[in-house]
Amino acid sequence: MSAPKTEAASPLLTVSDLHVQYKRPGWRTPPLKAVDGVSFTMAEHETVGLVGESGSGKSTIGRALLGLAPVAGGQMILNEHDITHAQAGDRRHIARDLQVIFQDPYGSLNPARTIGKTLTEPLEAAADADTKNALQEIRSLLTQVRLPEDSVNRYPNAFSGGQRQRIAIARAMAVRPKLIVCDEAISALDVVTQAQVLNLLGQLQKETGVAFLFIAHNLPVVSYFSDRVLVLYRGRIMESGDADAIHHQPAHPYSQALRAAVPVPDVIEQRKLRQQRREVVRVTTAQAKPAPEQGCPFAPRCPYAADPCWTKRPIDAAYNGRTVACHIFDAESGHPQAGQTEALVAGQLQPTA
Amino acid sequence: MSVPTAAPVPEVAPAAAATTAAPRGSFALALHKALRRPSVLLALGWLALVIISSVLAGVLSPHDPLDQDLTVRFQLPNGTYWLGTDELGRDLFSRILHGGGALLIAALIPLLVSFLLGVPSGLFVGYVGGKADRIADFIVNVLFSIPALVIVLAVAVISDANLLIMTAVLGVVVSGGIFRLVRATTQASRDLLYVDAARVSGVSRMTILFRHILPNVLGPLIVQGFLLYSGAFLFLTSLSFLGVGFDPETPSWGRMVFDASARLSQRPWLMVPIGFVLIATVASLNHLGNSLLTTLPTSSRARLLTPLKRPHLPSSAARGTTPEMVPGRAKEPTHADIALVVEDLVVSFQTPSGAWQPVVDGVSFEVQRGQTVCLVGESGCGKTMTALATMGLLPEGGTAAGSVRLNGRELLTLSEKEMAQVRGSQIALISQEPMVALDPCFSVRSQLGEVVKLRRGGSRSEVRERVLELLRLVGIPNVQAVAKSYPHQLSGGMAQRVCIAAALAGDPSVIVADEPTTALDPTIQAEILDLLRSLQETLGLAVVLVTHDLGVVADIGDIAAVMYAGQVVELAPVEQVLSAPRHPYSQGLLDAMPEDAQRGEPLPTIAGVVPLPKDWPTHCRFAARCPLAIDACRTGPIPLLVVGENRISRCIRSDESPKIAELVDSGAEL
Repeated sequence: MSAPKTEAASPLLTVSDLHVQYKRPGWRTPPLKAVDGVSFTMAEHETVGLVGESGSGKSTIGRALLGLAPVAGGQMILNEHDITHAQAGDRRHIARDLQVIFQDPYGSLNPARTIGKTLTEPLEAAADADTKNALQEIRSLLTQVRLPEDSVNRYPNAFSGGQRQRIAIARAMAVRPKLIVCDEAISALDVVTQAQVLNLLGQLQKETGVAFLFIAHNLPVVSYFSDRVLVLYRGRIMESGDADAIHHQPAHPYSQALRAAVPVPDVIEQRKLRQQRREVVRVTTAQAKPAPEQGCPFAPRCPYAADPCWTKRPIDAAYNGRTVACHIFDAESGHPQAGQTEALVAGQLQPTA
Repeated sequence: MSVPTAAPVPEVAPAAAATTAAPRGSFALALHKALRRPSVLLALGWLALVIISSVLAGVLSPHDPLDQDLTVRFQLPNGTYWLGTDELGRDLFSRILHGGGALLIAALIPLLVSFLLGVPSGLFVGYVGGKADRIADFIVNVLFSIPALVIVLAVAVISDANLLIMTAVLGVVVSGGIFRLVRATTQASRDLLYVDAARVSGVSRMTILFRHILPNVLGPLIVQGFLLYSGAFLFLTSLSFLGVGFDPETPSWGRMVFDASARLSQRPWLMVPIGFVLIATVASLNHLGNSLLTTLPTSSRARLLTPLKRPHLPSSAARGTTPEMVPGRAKEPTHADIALVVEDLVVSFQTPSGAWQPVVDGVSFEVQRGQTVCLVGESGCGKTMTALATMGLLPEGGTAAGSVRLNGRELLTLSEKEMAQVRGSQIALISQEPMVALDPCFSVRSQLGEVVKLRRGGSRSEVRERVLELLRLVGIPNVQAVAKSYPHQLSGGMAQRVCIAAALAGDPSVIVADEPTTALDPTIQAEILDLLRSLQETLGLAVVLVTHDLGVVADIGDIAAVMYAGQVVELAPVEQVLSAPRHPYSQGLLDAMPEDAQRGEPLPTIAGVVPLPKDWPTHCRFAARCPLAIDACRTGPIPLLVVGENRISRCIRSDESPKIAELVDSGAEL
């Protein structure tokens, strides 16, 4: 797979042809391909969104970067260091550039340790940490995430979900990393808290220039918060490009389905969207056949699926500055509707039988 | 990835205590709970007595335990010899005092050895896994296959009955159990998110093990320690009974049992004092261990919803703090189509001080057949509590007052037995976590079959047919295959379909859906909403749906009841709430949605958080976060005001809500 348009100079993060596989129980069961050949780059200060449903591999990509998932192939270069097969001991150094905010703020903080101790941990682990100034540092971190300074001596159970997520953000920011993986960091929060946390992350990015790998399943949220978006399905990139463009004019049939699935808070608009979704999605997930081993993983649910979709893996075709892994966008794919991209994007393409 | 959520626990009191006190670890909590049982206190008291009297044996014993006096053989208890004497005329009481110490100390050695071996290796192997795990498992299997008594007796022969060596060997043999326990607990904790976070930060393996994992292991380990100690104690007693390990001359409990058993038929009293002491000591140790084991939480499981208990509430608690004041809203006669009426519902929890704290405060709404009423609001606004209370289900300690009428029948006064009949057959629940709602041990067929049998009865084949029919009803294509599968084989969407099928099994007229799609992917969410909509149309269901997503409200709702801090603040048809909200809180919720937001611009959001119930003001509860708040908002309770046909809002400035002002400016019709 070719990487999307390369950034200036050396990018902050280069992921090329990443494969992550999980062993499955059973003697001859083939491993589960959680990530199946994903490539992308990230520049400093940039926010890249990974969006897709459960099993799309979006979180696994984040976990592979963090050394929490078994990498089966490919390469990950962060800040000019190859971190693909970093050992536990290398993590101290990587941690200074790379941190994480997890989804579940109830599980990500050790309930038996005070906020102060939780926030000191990454500082201690960083090789050059000056533990004398740690307390000072923590107080300023807490102010930065809009929590009272006296939170230091409290335990996580004294805080609400939104406040805990702020603490998790403070922990991630403690060592001033260049990149933070936000693994569904706002998915468990209600809409007001979600907006508060997104605003906080945006503010911190402006102040510190940190880059975010923003993982979520809600396309509107991801495209609001990201510069670029990668739409993933079953471990592969379906579409990548400018966030606004993908949000307002999704090109890949899967991106279209994803876009139409998120309800909008307007009765009339939502009615239209529902109608649109009925056209885009012919098969419910419950009815879908298994994905072909070769071919396009979305074929079983795609209204435009034709013979090549079942047999040949789509290439990353260029479309208006994005890449779209769909045979319709590849004139030479042999798909009967190949080349009818405008009709597809406008939602006027005739579904195949 | 689904969010593991427990049943929502209202934050009534804990926050206040929690800010100052450290959260107790699960072990400390278990100990605290165990100490409330009188039998545990009794056991502890006995052990303390045994230890103290053994330590002070020299001072306390009235006679020398070795002092023989053949003139006073086999005495029964009397003034000089409190517990009588043995065949050499030695004082039994003094011998018991002296005979325990060595045993109590010797039993510590296997405990120490097995902990020293089992804990570090269990931690390491559990954390690392892989090959180390397989090797260690093999060694432990070998250890387990060795009969401890035979080995220790063999060692006794070789080492010339050296007690230290024998107890150490015993420790090695039993260390496998400790290893297994530590390894299992470590494996369960190594994938916790906070352990991942430490790993990402490059915290060293040793630090992670001791800082984040060992504390989780400690609780079960201490419990196991008690059981192991009592086991070792008994084992050593048996050894000395066999005449191995302890010097036959010095008093020992095992030796005393041996002597007594030799003369059991002629002098049965000999066995009574020592028998009692031994049994009481071992039983105390075992009881302590077991009590801790049963009070120790095995996992952080969701708090169980328990059927409503109805203690007599003081009238203040039953009424809530703000009486509904709805001028101009005439009580309409109950409509034939109205399935569920909730009136002045108050849900309260008792605080540690004994006062009743409402978390839902005078909520009223009604649901017609074929209609969906959405309860909307942030976490902590009482929407889930409202929904659960209509089902007669609340977390432990909660109670409801007011009125909930289902098809004209009052539910809050029903007994639990009557309510159990209603639940499932007339009103059913769809929960947020389909995977938690299903029992992993039973197939879909048997779980659904059980519900069908309970609600409808019928022969086995009728039940089976009905199960398949239900599965077809919820849009599952290959019903036979799904019926045979177990919950872990289902995807989240499929599991939620099965849960919906279970809810429909009793042909209910009302469905309460508590965030039914929050844990699901958008594509699956859309499918489940489609399913709910079509079921509602075909079956004429009345639905109460709890959600914080206004998109879901737009998709499926007819009426929106926006809740804030335990109250309904706006109640109106969904189109109206979403297009022209008449309460600033509804407006705030709507603005926080990122749909039309511009990238790089901060999202308009409501500052601050929902106040905890104990902090609810008597005046407008939203005033502290409201952009429109004026002095009049802070003078007294705000009633629900009629602000249009079928619309009520708890805001005295509802005409000035930003969007409304905007619309008035542009001349649009309201």
